[in-house]
Amino acid sequence: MLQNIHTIGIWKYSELIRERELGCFGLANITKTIQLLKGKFKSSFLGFIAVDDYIFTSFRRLTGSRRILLEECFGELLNNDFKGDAFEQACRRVMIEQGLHTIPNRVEINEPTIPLEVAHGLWGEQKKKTDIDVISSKNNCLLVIECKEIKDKALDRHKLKHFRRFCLEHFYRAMWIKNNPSRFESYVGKDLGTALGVDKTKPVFILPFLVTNIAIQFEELMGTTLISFLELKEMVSSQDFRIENSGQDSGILDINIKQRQVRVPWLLIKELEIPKCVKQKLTVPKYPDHDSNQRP
Amino acid sequence: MSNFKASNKAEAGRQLEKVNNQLKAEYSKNNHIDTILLLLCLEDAINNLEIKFLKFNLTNGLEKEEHEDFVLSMFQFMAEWYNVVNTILNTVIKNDSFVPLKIRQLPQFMFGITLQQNVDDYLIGLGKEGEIGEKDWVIKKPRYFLNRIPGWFFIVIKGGEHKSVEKRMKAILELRDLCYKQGLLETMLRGAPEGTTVEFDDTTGLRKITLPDGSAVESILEREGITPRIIENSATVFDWNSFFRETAAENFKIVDMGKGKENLEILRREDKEIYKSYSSIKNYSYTFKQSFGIDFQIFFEITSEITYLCYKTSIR
Repeated sequence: MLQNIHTIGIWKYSELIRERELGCFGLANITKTIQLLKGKFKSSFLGFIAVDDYIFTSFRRLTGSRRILLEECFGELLNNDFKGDAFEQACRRVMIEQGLHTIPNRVEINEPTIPLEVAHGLWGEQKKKTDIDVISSKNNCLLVIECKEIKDKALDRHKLKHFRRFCLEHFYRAMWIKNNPSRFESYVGKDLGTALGVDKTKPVFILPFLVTNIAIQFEELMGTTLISFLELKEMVSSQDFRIENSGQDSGILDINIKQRQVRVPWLLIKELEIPKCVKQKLTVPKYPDHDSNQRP
Repeated sequence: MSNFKASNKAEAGRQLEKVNNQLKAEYSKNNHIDTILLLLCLEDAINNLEIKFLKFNLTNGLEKEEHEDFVLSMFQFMAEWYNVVNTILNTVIKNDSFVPLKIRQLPQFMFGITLQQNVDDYLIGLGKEGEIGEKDWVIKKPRYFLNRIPGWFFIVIKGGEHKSVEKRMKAILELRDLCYKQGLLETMLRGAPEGTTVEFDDTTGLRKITLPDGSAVESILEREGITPRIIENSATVFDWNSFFRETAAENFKIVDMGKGKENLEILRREDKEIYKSYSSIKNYSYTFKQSFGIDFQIFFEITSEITYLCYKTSIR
């Protein structure tokens, strides 16, 4: 017996497959697992190392090679556009966990949201409908999020170009919300006050973001509001999203996410229809000034 | 410094051929089962150091520039060691025959770095704190972190008195130096701009890259897509689709002494989170079975159980 201080494993192959803890899995499955992590797939990082009769492995080798294999399978799902909405849901979950009012599903908009000439410039056609993946609010700011999953941080020129287009398209989507608040509410299906806890008596702002599952960094994407999932998590846990309303209908909010500064364009929603009940509250007779002594 | 210098691509090409031949000869001499075991121990010690860095990175209050230097230099240091161990391991196992296992007790490795210039003072300090014992064997080597910040790294082999371990470790370090030279020359031939000079000191193992126009190593890394932001935000499915990170943060609290029985329980919880994160994705389990010919849950549980077996205090 060797004394093992590190988390490494060495067995005679015949002994490993007969380990008591593995008994319930069946010989064929154990053998298959070892084969897979012994180099049967393309990674050069081997989970098991077989020399003579021995099988070697370690904590790092097993967890690392398994992670590579699992991500490989996730990549397959992405390639086949087969993955469902797990990432979008994860983004939504983060917002809810951090206490942001969040619409529980994506919002479908059954009309074009991008001006015809812009749409043609971007995609060569105008999409007749679109959807917004995640919408949350904090301090009267609507965070409008488009979720994008990518397989690899190394994007080729073609994909990069696409990403720039996504960013631009998403900005125009936010513009559409700014200019069509009541139509937007009808697609949400509820008044924004109810759906997102927005106080319509005060200015409401829109902040558009594109969120990726892994971080990417390219000069071509500088100046966009593209952030990674972990940055989104950090941002919503540390930011107040308070915008000073100085009468402009758009501007820039500088947001610090750890060491990174992201310049986020904000858009002010004008003419947001105030529900009747709120209107009634607002029409309570006003006092001549704020001096409490003059109140009845 | 400099027992080895290349200042143009033609020279680098010639040197590379020499180094490749030396490596080939050295690899064939390292056909020892002991070498494989020691490489895995070394890799585990690097992993322990990486965990300490991750923990420090979560709690440090460094200013932006210092923080970025820390992240980038540690990433580069770790990546180099992991790569070199992996390369040596993958090549050594291709030997045709092997010298049987001789080591009867696996040594405990400890990996460390310091920016203190007097490394001996630093090591004496560690001795006083009980981190290094009198019988421990310490290998220390200078290094320029990010090619400009002078410091040291050291490997402590606990216990000492392992003649066979010492012999095999020296051979591994020779291979490591050769791999570094190979890496330097390949970088020079493929990635480095014209006018770059690379140097390597055979006595100390210190290497230096001088880039033209005073450009920094960070700019080369950035061109390869490696920046502090990318390093800190790299994420897999379980980073966004589970509470893995929160669970792992608990683990950081108790891994100061390296991995062991104490953190096995949290490791099981981490595993649960990882499994949940993938299995909850629509079509994942189906695609896994189609791609790899084994049920996802069974595969996951087998690898988990073998990982836990690696935590046992003795191995057969």
